[in-house]
Amino acid sequence: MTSRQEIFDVVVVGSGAGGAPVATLLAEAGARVLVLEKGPYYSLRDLTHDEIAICRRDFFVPFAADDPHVVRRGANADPERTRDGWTSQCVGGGTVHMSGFWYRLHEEDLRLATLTGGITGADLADWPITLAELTPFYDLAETRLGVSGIAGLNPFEPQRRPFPLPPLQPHPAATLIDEAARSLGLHSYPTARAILSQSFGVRPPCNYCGRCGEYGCENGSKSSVLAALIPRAEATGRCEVRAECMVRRIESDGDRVTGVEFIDRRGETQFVGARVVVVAASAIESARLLLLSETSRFPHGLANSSGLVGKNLTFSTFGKGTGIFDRRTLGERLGPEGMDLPFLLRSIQDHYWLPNTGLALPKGGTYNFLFHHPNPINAAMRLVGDSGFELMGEELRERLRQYFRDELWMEFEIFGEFLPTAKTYVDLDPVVKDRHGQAAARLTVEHHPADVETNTHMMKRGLEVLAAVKPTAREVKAWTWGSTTFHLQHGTCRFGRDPTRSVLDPWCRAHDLENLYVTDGSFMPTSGGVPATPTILANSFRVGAAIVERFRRRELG
Amino acid sequence: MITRRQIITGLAASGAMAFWPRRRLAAQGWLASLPQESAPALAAAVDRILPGATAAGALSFIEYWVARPAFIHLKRDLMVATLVMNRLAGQRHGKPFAACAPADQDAILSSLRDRQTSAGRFDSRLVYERLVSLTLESFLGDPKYGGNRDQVGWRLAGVQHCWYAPKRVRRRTGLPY
Repeated sequence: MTSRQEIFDVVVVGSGAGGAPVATLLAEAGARVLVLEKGPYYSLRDLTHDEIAICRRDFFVPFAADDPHVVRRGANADPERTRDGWTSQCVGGGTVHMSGFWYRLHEEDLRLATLTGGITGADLADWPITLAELTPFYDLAETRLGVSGIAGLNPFEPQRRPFPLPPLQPHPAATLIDEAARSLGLHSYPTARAILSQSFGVRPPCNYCGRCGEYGCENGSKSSVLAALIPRAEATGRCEVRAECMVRRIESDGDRVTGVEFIDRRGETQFVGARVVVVAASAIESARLLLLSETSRFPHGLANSSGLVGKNLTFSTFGKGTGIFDRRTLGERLGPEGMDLPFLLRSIQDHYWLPNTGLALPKGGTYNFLFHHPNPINAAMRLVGDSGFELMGEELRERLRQYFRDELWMEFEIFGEFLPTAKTYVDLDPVVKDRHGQAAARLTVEHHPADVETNTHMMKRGLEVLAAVKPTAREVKAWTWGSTTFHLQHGTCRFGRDPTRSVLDPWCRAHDLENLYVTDGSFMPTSGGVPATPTILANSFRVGAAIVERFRRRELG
Repeated sequence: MITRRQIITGLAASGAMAFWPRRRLAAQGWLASLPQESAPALAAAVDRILPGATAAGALSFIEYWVARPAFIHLKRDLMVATLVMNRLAGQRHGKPFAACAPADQDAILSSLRDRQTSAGRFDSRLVYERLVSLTLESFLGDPKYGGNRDQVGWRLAGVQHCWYAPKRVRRRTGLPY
């Protein structure tokens, strides 16, 4: 049954980092807001530490058999049905299971085209806004969500105000990272986290269980939008969150959107009208939704007169190095106090900008030093996987015992730029459908060679830090480099001033439609040298504030 | 002074296990429906991958998961894997896989892992990896799925959880979770 009787001021598609801030600001300003979320609405009680259910099944990400994406590693490669490219399906989106590492972009991230003069094969574009315009909204995001850290210790960090909460307590091994970094002339600093170090309103402080990444926080201490924003939005009485509602099409009439069609939890098709539609379903799924919403006016997808919807898809170029340390030796060096704390909390950004290295992409990104994830099944699979699945039998059993009892793995992750090119994009798969019969998103992915070259350079520098730690590691090794982090996705509706080279204007409004916005990572012309979630949150607040002003000026009917 | 470690150990010994969900999620009898010699082959394979896994409940664990709709293809693939293992065992040693010597079983598993065997669209490497994953999950996962009996896997890993403990217990003991 289709109902055309409900009309909202704003319909927000997606309830994660891109959707929740907009919805919250608008509801607080008096707008009547409907948030439609494809996934379920988990309560804190649902967020257990069951590694199998939460991390290894479909709690957050659907099985490929149920809701596939298609990935091909190059336009001529065989396509493969996969779960890759889904960030999360639940109210709160990816912020529910994020680790909460908190970084801001640097000025170089917003000016990569100008600073490099262009990179052959990359479709670079500067951002149409400055870091100074985004900074107040980073501040707002930190204040509204609750972010713990200490400013002023990273000489490469853009100027910023103090964090709203003091830093979390690190494991004593953080001092070893500091010593190693200093010995190499580098500047390690405490990593900020979207995790509460103190009580924050009604939310309690972190209990240091160490299961931030891949899990939801049953304590409410991780600053997901589920914990920090959605309740505030609903408390206004003007924001309704409808879970298990899959938006299948955005309806439009001329140069205005009129509402959205969605499939509700009973499987029935519904329509709601809207004065404004904000799409924030993740860069891949937002592009897919626009492509599926074609009309005679927009035959290549809604808001796609530029032809760029789905193009310039970027991820983060990822690397990970591992240092295997002897737990007893570390204990003798550091003493017993704090040895069960789960967070290492050290980052290095000395190699963020690499002007004199001869690299085609002179931007390395961020080293995030952390412990190997505490999940025991994941650890066991890592050991077996690293052996090419040859490790088995008593040798496996003994290796497990050795890993869990004797070893402490300190690692670093590199988040590097993924250059936008014509070879990486989202379109609609010609064959594979989702369970509602709509074309699935097809991801065509190829790294620009410069990504891999720079990431390889960064890997070597990062391994030097682990190798410099005293007491010396049993082993220091690279685990992966030049890899693709599918859950960090951007670029498919890039913003800019030129309607022929961008989908959105500087306020993330579609050039083609005056009341359509896109506020997930789609807007980002470049991926940056840090994980993008804080930037998506900040920008969503920025755009939300702008939409509030448009309503106040009565520009939105 | 009572240490945190003593509290944790004491709770585990004294019945904090009472806070674990006692129910076992129901198995569906898939093992009994397999062709003859398939269930023993599966058990033997799992124990070669990780000795002690069947005693820890690996087969109950696998039986639970293959009954889930999302795992219907795995149900078929595991059955084909047991048929392939028994076929190779018969060809090489004239006996079922479960009756072969351990070294011979390992060699047959290596054949699956290295794609040295084929059976139509059956990808032996992929299925071998899934079997390893199921074995490790059964050993180190939540006991409610039928594996990790008496938390044998968690005791090997030194994992200390009581995340189902009510908040009042956590407040009283000062345990973080």
